Amino acid sequence: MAELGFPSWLRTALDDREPGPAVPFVDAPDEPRDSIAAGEIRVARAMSEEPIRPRLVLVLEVFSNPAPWANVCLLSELVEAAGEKDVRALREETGLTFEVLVETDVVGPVFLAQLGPSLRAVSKPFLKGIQACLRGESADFAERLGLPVRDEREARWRFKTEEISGMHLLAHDCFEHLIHASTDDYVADVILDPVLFQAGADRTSRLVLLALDKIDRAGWGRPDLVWELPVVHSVKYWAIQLGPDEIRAFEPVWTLCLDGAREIAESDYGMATVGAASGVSLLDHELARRGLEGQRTLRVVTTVDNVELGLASRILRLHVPGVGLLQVEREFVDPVAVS
Amino acid sequence: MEELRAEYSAVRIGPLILHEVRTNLSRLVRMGGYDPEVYAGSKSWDDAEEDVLQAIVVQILLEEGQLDYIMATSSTLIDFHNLLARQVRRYLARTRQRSVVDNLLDRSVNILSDEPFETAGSGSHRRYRLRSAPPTLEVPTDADLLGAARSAAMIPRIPFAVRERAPMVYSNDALRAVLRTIAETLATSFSHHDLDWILRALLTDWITGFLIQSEGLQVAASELTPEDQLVVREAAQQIVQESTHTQLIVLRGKLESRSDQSIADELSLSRPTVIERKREALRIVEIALMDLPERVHRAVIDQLSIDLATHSESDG
Repeated sequence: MAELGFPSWLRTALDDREPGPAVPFVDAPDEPRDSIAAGEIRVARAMSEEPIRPRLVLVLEVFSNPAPWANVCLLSELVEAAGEKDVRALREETGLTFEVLVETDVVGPVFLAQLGPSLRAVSKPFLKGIQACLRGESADFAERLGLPVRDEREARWRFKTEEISGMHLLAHDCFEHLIHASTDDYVADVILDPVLFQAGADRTSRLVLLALDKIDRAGWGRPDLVWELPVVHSVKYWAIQLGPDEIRAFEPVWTLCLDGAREIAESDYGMATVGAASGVSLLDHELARRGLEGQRTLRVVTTVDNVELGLASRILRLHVPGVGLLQVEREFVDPVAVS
Repeated sequence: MEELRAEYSAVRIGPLILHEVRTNLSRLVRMGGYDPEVYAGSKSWDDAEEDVLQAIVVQILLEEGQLDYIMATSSTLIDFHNLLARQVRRYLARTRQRSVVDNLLDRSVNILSDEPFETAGSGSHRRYRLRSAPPTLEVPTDADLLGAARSAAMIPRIPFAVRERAPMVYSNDALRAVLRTIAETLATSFSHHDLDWILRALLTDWITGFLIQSEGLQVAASELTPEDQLVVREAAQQIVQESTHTQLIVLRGKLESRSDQSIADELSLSRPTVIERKREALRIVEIALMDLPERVHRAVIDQLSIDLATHSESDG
C-alpha cells in the first residue's frame, strides 16, 4: 500500500534505478579552490548580488595573475535550444546524469571564488575539442552542433541573448578587474594581516621581513596596512623595540605609516571601532570596507598559524552583506622559517 | 529549500518534491491555457494530470537527470520553482512538438506523391527521392540527415503560439521547398522515419519558444497586405533574375549560415572569389530592397529563401 503522498509508481520508479551520488549543493561548505583545473564542471555564482541564479560552467583555463581567475564556458540544460555554436555533450562525456549544451559562444572570466563545488570533469580530448570550437574549428563535434539560428525572430536568438546577458552578470566583476589590471597605473592591493604585528617584537620582525621580501619578489607593488587603532598601537609598540639597522630594513613600513597617518586622520573612527568591537576580525573588517568601496579581489599576506585547521585554502570567498562576494587570496609566510 | 535538499539527499524524490511538481503542473496547465486535448489527449486536466505528473517525474526528473540539475543550480526556493516550471513546460512542449511533426508528415506525404518527387516501396519501406536524381541503394546516415536539416533550416516558418490548436508551421510553398531541399541535399532516397528525424530537428525552436516564452515575437508574413505580398514576390524574383548562378549559390549558402570556405569548396573556387561573389549578390539584394518599405524587407528574404531552395527546379 502506498504511503501518504508517496504513490506506488514513484516507489517503483525509484527502486528501478541506481540513484548514484547526489549532486553537491551550490552553497556547500567552502572547499579548497587551489586545485581548480581546466575541464571541471562547476557551479558559478555572480560576485555582486545580481538577479541571476547559479549556472553550470565548464572551466576552460585557470590563471593566477593578476588575481586567481578562470575562463569559463556556459553550460545549459536546455539541449533543444542548440545553435550552430553549441555542442550537445552526452552523459558519458561529462559524467553528469543529464545532458548539457556547451555554449562555445558564451565564454567569460570569473574569479575562482565564484566557483562552487566540482560536479564532474570532462576528458582532456573532449576539452581540446571544445577549445577548438572556440577557435571556430568544430569538426570534432560537427554532428552534435545545433542548426543555425536564422534570425532574431527565432526563440533561440532570444535564448542566446539571455545566455550572453547571464554570462555578463557572472563575469563583469572579473572582467573589469582584468581590464583595470592591464592599465599602466594599476597597483595590486596587498594587505599585511594585522596578526603579523601581534606576534611579539622578534617574531613580528621576521614575519614582516619575509612578507616584504615575498611582495618584492612577486612584484605585487606596495603593501598596505589595516588602518585601525589597535593595529596602529601594535605597529608603534613593535617599532620602539627595533634597533637602528632594523629601522632601516623596515623602511617600506614607515613610508606606509606616513601615508596611513593622513588616512587615519580623514577616516571614520566610529566605524572602525564598531567593527573591531563587534567580534569581526580587524582584517575581515578591512576587507569588507574595501568590498564596499568596490574592490572584488584582494591579496593578503598572513601567517599559517593564523589558519584554522582544514581551511588552508589560499583562495577564500568572503560574503559581504549588501555587496556580494569578495575573493581573498592569502599568501602565507611560513612561521617555521622564522622560528 | 533545506527540507527539499534533505529529501533529495535521502530518497531523490519524496512527498515534498512530488508535491512541488504537482502544484507547479496544476498551476501551469490551468492558468497557462494549455488545452488538455492538445497537450495530453484528454477531455479535461482532471483526468490527465496524474498521467502527466507521472511522466514528468519519471522521464524528465529521474531518467533524464533533470532533478540533479535543478538541485545543483538552485540556491533559493525561487530558483527551484523556476527550474521546475521549465521542466514541466519542456514536457508539454515535447508532446506538442510530436503532434505538430505528425501533421507536417501527413502534408509532406501528399506533396511527395507528386512531381518532382518519386515514391518507391510501400508501408514502412516506402522511400522518396527526386525523380530526376540518379537511383541509388544507399541510405542516409545521421550526418547526412543533419546536413539536410541544416540546408532546410533556411526555409522560413510561420510563427506559432502556445494556444494554437493546429499550427501550420510551413506554408505549402515553404513545405515543398523544405522537401525539395532535403531531397537535393541527401542525394539518396529517404524514408518516412528519416523525414520525421529531420522535421523534429527543424522544429527545435518550437521547444525553445515554449521554454523561454517568446512565442508571438515573430511578424507573420500573413500580416502583410495582398499588395505587400505581391511586392515581396516581385522583389525576390528580381533578385533571382539579376543574379548569376554562382551568385545565387553563394547567396543560398549564406542564408544557410555556411562559411565562405565551405561554399568555396562546393564551387571549387577560391575563398576571395566567393567573398567577391557574395559582395555582388548582396549589392543586388540591397538594390532590390532599396525602395521598399522596411516592414517587407524580411518577408522578401523569406521569399528569396523559398525561391532559392526551389530555384534549380526552374533553372534546370
